[in-house]
Amino acid sequence: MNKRIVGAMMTALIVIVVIVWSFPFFELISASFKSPADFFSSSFLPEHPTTENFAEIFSDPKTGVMLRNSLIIVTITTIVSVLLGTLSGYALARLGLRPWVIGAVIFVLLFFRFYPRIAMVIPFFVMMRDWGLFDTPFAVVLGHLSITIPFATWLMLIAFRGLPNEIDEAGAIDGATLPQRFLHLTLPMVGSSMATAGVLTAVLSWNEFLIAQSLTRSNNPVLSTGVASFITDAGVKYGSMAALSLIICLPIVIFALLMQRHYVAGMTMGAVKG
Amino acid sequence: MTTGRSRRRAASPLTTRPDRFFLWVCLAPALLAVIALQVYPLANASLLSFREWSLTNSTEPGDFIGWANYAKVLADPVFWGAARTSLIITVCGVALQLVFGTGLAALLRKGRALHRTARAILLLPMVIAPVAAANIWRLMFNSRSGSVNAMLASVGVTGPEWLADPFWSIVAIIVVDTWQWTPFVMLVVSSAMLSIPQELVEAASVDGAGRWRAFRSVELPMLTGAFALVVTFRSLDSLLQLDTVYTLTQGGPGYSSYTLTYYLYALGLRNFEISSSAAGSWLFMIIVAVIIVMMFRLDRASREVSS
Repeated sequence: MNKRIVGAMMTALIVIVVIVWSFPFFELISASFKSPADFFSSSFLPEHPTTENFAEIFSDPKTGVMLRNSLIIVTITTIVSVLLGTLSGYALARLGLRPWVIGAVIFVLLFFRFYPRIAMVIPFFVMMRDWGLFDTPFAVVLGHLSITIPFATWLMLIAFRGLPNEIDEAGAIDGATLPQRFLHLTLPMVGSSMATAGVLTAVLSWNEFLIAQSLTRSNNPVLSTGVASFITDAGVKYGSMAALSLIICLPIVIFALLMQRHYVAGMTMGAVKG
Repeated sequence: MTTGRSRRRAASPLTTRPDRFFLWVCLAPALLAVIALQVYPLANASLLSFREWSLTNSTEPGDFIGWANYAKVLADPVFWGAARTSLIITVCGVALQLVFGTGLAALLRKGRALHRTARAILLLPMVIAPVAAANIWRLMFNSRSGSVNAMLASVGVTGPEWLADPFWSIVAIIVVDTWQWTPFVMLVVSSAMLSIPQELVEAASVDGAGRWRAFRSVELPMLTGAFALVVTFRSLDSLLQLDTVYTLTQGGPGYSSYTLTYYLYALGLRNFEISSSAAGSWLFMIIVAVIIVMMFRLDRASREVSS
């Protein structure tokens, strides 16, 4: 009896926590349907609901450019990172490097993930200007690749190192060459890790702000820089700010829920392999 | 820190030359990309930090001026203020995330449908763009229409002008960081909890230890590795991030919510003091390196204690 009461209280607690933690999302949805006047009242729901904010966002040609640029950047970054990361992760796992070399490689790969990125952004800005790529989506692609290639390599290196050798050795005895074994025996076993690398790369690239903000200007904004550019505090632009924020959130939320298994696997990798 | 301890040795040593050639061909594209996109810009940054270059005066870098850029940044009170703010935000934010994240992981540890659904919903804040999260909280913190002050008003408290106040704007940044990244702590701690053998916990409760005591004296010590990991990851990411401050407060009011990354960003890409910003980012790099080394030490110490 006592146990059932405790169970019911736990369930109630969980429901409350979930509602409290997701409340800001409801505020976002509500605000995106508010009219300018509603931002002067403290009512949670819009008093004069309107789709005006979305109409305004989509009638602005900039929004199309942002969407297009973000999609281009995410697609190229993800494909190239997974491809190069898989190849290099495989090479590093199979080159028969000494353990301390592998340790050093892993340290460098993690260092690229964690050092102050602002240090790289300043020279990158100069580099892109000199290469004539400044203010194009390709500058942002190169900027993202500088983070995601080492990251994908790290993930894939760990995946390849975790594979049993027996299958590969059996293939070698049957006379298959290394490229053949790589394609037909090894690669199929790391499909799920490749998906993990792809999902994490895509999420990072879609959400990334510092590099995109530093390497583009008004000609080629991406979604994240567009979302961050509502710096007017006049209270007038809140509606469109909410609408555009909703537009950048919605695809990634759906994507993350669909790919939840891979996303969680990637995010908790350190804890599991540690 | 996380992966160097893999037990398995690398694949059987290769003997044939074509095999080695194939592997180097596999490695080459990524290696070249990392050299061109990471090593080269970083080397460039260290060179720039010793030259004179303000983009407002000249389109090309000027003369070498030794340590002058470093001295300039170190003499700037805004730099030190930003370092202090960064530290406060990181320490407070990570501590809150650790407490809430562990609590949520403990609450939602079972495989039941309710728990799985709750975990899936709770991880949503961490998948959205930090700039979007900051915008959401600009709505929440809005002193007229935002829900935060409306809720405070309903219990009779007059909420502050969150983003226009030097103290409360820092609190706001910590709140946003905590909202967004507590789910990360929850995920990592959950997966570490799942790897604890259930027999141990059950044995403890058979021995008469209460639920709380079993958690505290059996499970908690086994989670130190996971804690060290989340503290490291979260501290570094929180210290380095620009997005929340840029969107939420623009460093304001005044310089009060400048963080290190925001300071360097504004210096380099708004005031175009390219070389000073490069020097500052190397100073920042040293701070981060010191933190990484300290974390390594802490991690090793905690492992020795728990084993």
